[in-house]
Amino acid sequence: MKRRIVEHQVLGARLVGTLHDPRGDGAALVDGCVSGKTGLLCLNFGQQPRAWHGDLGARLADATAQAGIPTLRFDMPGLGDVDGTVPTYLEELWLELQRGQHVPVVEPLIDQLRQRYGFARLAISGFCGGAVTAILAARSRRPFVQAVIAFEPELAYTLVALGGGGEAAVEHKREELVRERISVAWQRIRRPEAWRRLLSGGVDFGYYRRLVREAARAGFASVRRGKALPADAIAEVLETWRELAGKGMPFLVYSVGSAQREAFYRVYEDYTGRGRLPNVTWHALPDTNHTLVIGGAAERILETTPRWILQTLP
Amino acid sequence: MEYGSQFDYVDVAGVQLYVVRHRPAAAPRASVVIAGPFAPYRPDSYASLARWGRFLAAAGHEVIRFDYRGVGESSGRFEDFTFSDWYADLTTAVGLLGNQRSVPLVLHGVGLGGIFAARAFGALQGDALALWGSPRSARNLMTDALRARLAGDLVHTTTATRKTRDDYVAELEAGTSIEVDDYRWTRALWLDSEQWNLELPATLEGQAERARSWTLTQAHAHLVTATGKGVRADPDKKMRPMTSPAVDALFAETLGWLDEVAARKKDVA
Repeated sequence: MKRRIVEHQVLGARLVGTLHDPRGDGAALVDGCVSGKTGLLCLNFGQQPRAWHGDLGARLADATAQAGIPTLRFDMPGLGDVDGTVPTYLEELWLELQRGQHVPVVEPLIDQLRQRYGFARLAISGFCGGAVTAILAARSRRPFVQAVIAFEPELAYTLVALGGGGEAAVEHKREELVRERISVAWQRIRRPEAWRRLLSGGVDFGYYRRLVREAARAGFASVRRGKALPADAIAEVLETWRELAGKGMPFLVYSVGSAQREAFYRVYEDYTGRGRLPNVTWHALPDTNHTLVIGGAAERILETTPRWILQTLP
Repeated sequence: MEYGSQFDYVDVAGVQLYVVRHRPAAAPRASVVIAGPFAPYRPDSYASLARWGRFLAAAGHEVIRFDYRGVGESSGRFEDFTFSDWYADLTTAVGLLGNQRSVPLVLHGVGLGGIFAARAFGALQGDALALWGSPRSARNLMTDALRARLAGDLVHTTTATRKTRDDYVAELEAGTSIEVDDYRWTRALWLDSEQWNLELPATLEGQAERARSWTLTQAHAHLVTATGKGVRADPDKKMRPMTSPAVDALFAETLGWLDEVAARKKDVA
């Protein structure tokens, strides 16, 4: 296996990427060099360089290439090694990505990869905001794109800091926060030291009184909303996910297996097909964080992903 | 000024070292080799350092920057390398400029890279030395970074008993590798860190024209640590993390000093 630098001109930007080539030393990087093969395209986090946090993206691409799957990672305009402008504040960049700003870049890139290297088909993967891009690009580039791998997919807009999206969205963010706090409280109840603190009076009872009131309010709001998506949901991504998964496109998803994160994704299960559709494989990884590197998460991803691709796209 | 960027791999004992060169269209006035921060701080600093390389090239200086073996775009596994190996990567990068140099060579260390740049400078590998936020030693750097592991344990570990920093150090010294800030630290890395202190040649005292060190403010902390996210206050005074941290003043000041280095060498020549 050998890493090679590749460059593609897309919409006036010189995209710099890395091809993890299973063919190793001595094999030339020429047009059609991986003709007939299944490839994997990896799109990173919002603002991170293409290796990802903890170099997980680079390590994943090494693992898939060692399994025989040519794998590519690219920096997007203004990020990593690619020149260009990006918004001043991170939240503005995230909002742009959530609105699909990288999709018009990735779509022609996919076309170029197909033409230049001769791939028979492609699996597309994305992390967080990259998952938004991957899902939307998968829809427009079927049937060439045949599978989606999503790492901690972003399914809600970053609205609170910017104050956009209206009161309904802000209200939903509050509900989300309440759900997370309830999850944490529930975890604490099951620990002996929490009861010791409670019985010794070392607890802020006011906090828990407020939590109960807010939980009731959030519960009523949830019942009122029914099956409708929360106001801050990225509806286009969820609708696309539902459409693709409903038509049988395989999805492999990795998420943080914490109570808070599980509560977040549970809201969208009607759209993601988690636990319902056989073509949606979901791994909620314990003891890890959003970068999915610590707590054994990276090792699990490196072991599972190549095997899943080979089994799903033989 | 026009400039070009080139991305490539250099083979170092079977490992692919990722090297980026930014070259001005005209003949360069100085060559700058940038040794970057410790691996966990690469993601947050990368955009700024890439911009810095392009900025310098647009100002007429040739730049080489690279990823340490086992980190980022360089191949290999982080846990297979030590600080001594990463110093060797800096000397490899310097070697790419060749022996015949008609312009001054500036060794520029960012964070951990400053320790390596200073060592190389002391070994007479460069004409000038620039340091951004360099730690006193690699051992200090690792000890500080262990705080990230302790913080992570508080959030993510469900067991009642949590380890202390001394517990983790004892594990490292006993040969158990530990996970810190998304990377696996080994005993070899820990022991090797003792040999890497920031050392400036004594003859340089007072010679700001040849060596200059910048202490980084909060706005620049993202270049060398995970705790700084390049925050800035918006018009409503809320501190918000930035995609493009405000490093322009640091860039301008450092460029001004580099231009003086280049001009002095030209005068001497």
